[in-house]
Amino acid sequence: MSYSNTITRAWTENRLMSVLLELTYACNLDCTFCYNDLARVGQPLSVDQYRQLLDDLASLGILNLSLSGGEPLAHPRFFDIANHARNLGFVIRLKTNGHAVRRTVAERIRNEIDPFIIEVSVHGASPETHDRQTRVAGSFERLVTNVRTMKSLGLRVKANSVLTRWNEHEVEDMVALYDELGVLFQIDPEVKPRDDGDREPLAIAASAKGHARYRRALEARANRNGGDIDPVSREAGPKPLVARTDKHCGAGSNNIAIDPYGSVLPCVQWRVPVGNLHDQRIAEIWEKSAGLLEARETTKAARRMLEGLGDAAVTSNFCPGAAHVHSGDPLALYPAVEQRIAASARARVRLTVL
Amino acid sequence: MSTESHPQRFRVDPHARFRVLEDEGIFVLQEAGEVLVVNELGAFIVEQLQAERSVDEVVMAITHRYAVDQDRAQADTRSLLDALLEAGAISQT
Repeated sequence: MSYSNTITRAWTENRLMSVLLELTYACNLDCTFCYNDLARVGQPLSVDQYRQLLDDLASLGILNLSLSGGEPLAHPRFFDIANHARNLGFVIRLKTNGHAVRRTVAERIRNEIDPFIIEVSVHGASPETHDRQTRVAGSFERLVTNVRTMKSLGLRVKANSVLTRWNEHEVEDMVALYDELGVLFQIDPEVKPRDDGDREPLAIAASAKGHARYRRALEARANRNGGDIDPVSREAGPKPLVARTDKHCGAGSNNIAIDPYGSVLPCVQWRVPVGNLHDQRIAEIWEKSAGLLEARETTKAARRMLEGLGDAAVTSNFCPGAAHVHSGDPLALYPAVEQRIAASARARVRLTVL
Repeated sequence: MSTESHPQRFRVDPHARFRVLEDEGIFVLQEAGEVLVVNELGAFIVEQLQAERSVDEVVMAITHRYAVDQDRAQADTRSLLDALLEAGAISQT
């Protein structure tokens, strides 16, 4: 028995394993490149609806539950919802900006939620860089203090960062900071448009030099740590796995996302509603949604499309959801993927010449 | 754990999470950051533990559900529980 086989079966047989809940779009920071569609309005799910949803998800055997936002702690009943989830036995990931997680809040998180991991958003290695992104003075110092507190309480913490033109000059310091704090980390090299398609955040996408610097920083760290380049898989199981199926990803097959207004999405990046919890229970949506069936077929088409373009495309980290945000077409290549494919091709040429 | 009679009870360890996915069970060991996958029989045994059944009662439930004699059921159960205890997936109540 292996978890890899479990994941493969989940993709192939459409077994829902992971659900991400965006509890609210409210936030106590004001990040420049926030991807949420803050203009979106609707009827938020009530606490009773969240309880019903969580009961249903537990009955369906869902293992992983991510609590996200906005800032999930900004939901006025966050602890009621999260504690109910904890009592139902989910593996909980809390995705927060960390700003509100002072000692008393951290203690409540540990005692009432016992999350598998807390993922905090870090935008740089200095107050100037981080606070420029959050547009809240003092947010960097407060976050670092809060992370130290979380660690002292035995909470498991991971730093999530996005490489941008604003922080690429200090990416080595970011890696050093995460190691000094003793947290796992993941640096996403790709700035994406907002969920409503707004491309403004792309203005601060990292430069080619920044990407090269980021790769060198990770390689240098890997050399220091015995050749292990992946800071996530080194310590924080379950390790990322690639399922051996005919699908490109598990969007709509083993994972979904749910926005604050009850819209069910194939994944957090793929913002095409396939049902709404105000109208249907989650089991019915999972079994009968035409939109989910279409998403599953699209992930198969994406795999065929990428395989047709070659190995560089298959490993280009293409995302149907990101493609949809870029152009409305979940199968269309977008600039970041085209650049990665081109870079891979240049690398092959250099190897050939050598 | 390895005695002839097993009146004791076990539970999923508070630091672990367990789910049954159709014909297999998954433990996530939060402290270690590891995953354990057990087969259908293993999942059945853990579900019995979650129903607060003693080891003796689990063995009886296995003999009723599967075509195995009591000695074999007891040996298989003991083997699995020892492994899960060692991994920190379950603990004695």
